[in-house]
Amino acid sequence: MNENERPLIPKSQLIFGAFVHWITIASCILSLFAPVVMLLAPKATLMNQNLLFGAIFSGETPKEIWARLPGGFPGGHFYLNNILTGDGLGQFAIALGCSVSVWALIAAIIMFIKEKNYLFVGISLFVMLLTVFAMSGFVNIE
Amino acid sequence: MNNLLTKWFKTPYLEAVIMIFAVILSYIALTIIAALEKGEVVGMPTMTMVLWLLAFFLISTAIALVAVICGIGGGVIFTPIMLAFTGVDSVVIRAAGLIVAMFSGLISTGIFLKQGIGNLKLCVTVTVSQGIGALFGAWGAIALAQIKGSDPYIRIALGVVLTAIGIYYMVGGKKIDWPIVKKVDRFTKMLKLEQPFFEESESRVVEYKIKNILPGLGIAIFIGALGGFFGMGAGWAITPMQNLVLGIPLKVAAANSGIILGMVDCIAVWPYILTGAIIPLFALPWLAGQVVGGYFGSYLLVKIRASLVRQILIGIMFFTSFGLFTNGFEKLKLIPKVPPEASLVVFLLMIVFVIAMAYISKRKESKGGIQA
Repeated sequence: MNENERPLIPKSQLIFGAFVHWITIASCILSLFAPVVMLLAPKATLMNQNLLFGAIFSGETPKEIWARLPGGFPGGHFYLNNILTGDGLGQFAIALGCSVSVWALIAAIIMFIKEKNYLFVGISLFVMLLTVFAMSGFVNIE
Repeated sequence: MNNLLTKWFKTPYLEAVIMIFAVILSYIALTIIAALEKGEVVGMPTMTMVLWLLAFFLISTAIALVAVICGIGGGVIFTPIMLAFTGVDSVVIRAAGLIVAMFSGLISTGIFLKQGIGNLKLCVTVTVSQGIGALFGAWGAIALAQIKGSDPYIRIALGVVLTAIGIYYMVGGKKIDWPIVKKVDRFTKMLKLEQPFFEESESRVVEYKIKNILPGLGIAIFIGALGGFFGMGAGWAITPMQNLVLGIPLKVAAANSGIILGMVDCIAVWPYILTGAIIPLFALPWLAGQVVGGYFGSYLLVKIRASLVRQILIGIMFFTSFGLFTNGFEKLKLIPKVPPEASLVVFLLMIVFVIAMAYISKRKESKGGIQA
């Protein structure tokens, strides 16, 4: 069996895979350097990381941990206004990785349209909207 | 020389070089910052913190290697171990557990889809059901955390789930690798989900059929809710569901499982992020470790005997279940504090158990070889 006899892989699948692959690696690189920024510039970081780590290990709840910040937890997308801070960069790395399926599905949907595979345009759109819905915090359980 | 350089600037070497370089550079920088620290520090000393970050990264890398090879999410190992053996709040652990579960899946997604062993159309279809379940599961977990005193019950419930998975891996180890699907229902046929792939180990094209998509999607909602609630992903359940209910070859099911896991947890993780349960400094080394370990694990998958890893996993699961049960019962004041020596004895028993299982399995294999 030579390479030419291998079944063709749909372009939508290849594009989706490539998007997820590179965005995940970007998120990994950012997550490696965000702690460096946190420790290198503690004054440009929202929370005192030394206190924070001790609090985590002593079993404090997220509410108690964030209560150290004036005004409490600044919201899941706090990186938007604090991208140059250590925790802002760290939160951005997490948010980027956790939203990867949205960006990859946008690319896959475009390919599904080109492949005239409209059923999977709809299914992919639904999964993408479900992720966007979860990201938006539209339903607040508190 | 030129060819060698070209090779290192191409995938998959390029990503490996970038990641290894970033790991070395970042941890050297952290160590230098900690070493140069002067004066009194309020809270945990920076050097201790850096050592914790490095330990988290290395443990996460090891978990991802095992998880990808076994076709499960790393959360199934991370969450119970952290709940059983640390005092970190259960919501913080389960939130980080989802990060651990999803990132090894995400990094293996590109590799499996490019190889053709993963099936994107099937994955997005299953994700619809499982994603809805996961979202409700995560909301349920955070809502239950508001109720004081729920923590021991969560630990005990997770112990029950983990014991059940361990038993499943013990009795279901010899699954049908290539299920034969004789009849395909009309709805499944309409979706046209089948996608042939080239099986490297047998040098042949495998064309498989899929059945029972509707019951499969129903089960996926339940699996999603369970994974989202416990913060451990659902790879341990979605692989057997695809294999046993949909009739998908085991190797394809394991690859799809990682892809689905990544997509579903992109939904399940957000309620945790939006309520502040993910603390960046705590989650980041786990995230990076999953990506690095998951990347190398995906390429190792073809070379390592999965049965051996599965046996190790059974040992980890039973030992962790023991920790969860005793921790939960202690908190409910139903039993006195279990001494560390007892945990050590159970751990040693588990090692003996794993070695015995590996030996029995090897003997069976060699007997089969002689008979053949």
